[in-house]
Amino acid sequence: MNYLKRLLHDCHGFSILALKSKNDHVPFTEKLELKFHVAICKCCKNFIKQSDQIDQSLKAYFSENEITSSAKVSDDFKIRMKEKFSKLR
Amino acid sequence: MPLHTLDHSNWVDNYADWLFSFAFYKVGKKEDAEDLVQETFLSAYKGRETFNGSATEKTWLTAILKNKIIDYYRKSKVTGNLTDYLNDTEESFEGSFFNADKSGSWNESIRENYFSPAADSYLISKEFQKFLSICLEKMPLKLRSVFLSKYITEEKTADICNEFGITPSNYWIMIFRSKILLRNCLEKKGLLR
Repeated sequence: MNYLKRLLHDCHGFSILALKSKNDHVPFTEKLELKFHVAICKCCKNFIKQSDQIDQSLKAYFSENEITSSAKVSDDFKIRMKEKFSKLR
Repeated sequence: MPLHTLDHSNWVDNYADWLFSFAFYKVGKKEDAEDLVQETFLSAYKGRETFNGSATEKTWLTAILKNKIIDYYRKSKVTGNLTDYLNDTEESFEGSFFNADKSGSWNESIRENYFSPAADSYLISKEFQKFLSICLEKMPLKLRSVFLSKYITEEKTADICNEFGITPSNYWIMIFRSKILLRNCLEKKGLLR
């Protein structure tokens, strides 16, 4: 695939790069290429926006206060565990 | 005098739910998550002498659990070989979301999906969160365990790669695929438009 073609059409590669650039170090030239691609590609711009929204909702979903309410250990487990501890003492 | 002290008599009441949900989202099986929490408590109890008080009890217990989870993935073949998994599923994934000409551009159906931004308050609403949970459960287990590692603790990329034995580039492919599947699921439910 030649360079220009990749720059214009490689949504797959650039979407991954967009995710990566939010967390990890990405070389300057790659950042520029990403900016260029996103500027001309509505689909990728859309993906990045949606991805940010998903991040935002996931953050709320996994916040420490939320997390205990979404999955709880059974009472049975707690009783068994307490018994084990009392034997250890 | 250390900043924090241990009191194991309250561990179960104070931390069992937190540790369980942490483990559950990572391993996806209730029984395995319970076993991990139990092992964590027992190891913590045995190693209580090594607690130096610089972290809170919760942080300390979570760190022990994290190591248990790493061991879990190493010992069991739950995740199998993730690199093979990615290669095996590449075609069906690309076929569903990308153009058949292999140029890397989105396929036609995706191109129609321009969305109108959802309000911030809606994203954290009970309704949205409920669907998010349904969509997360639908995600293939192999993708889910890696994806959730990123979101549940904000661990560094290098640590997650180490934990699952994958390269950073495969890691980002997995995060990407997870996001696409999640987006697709949320769109189908009419939530991200």
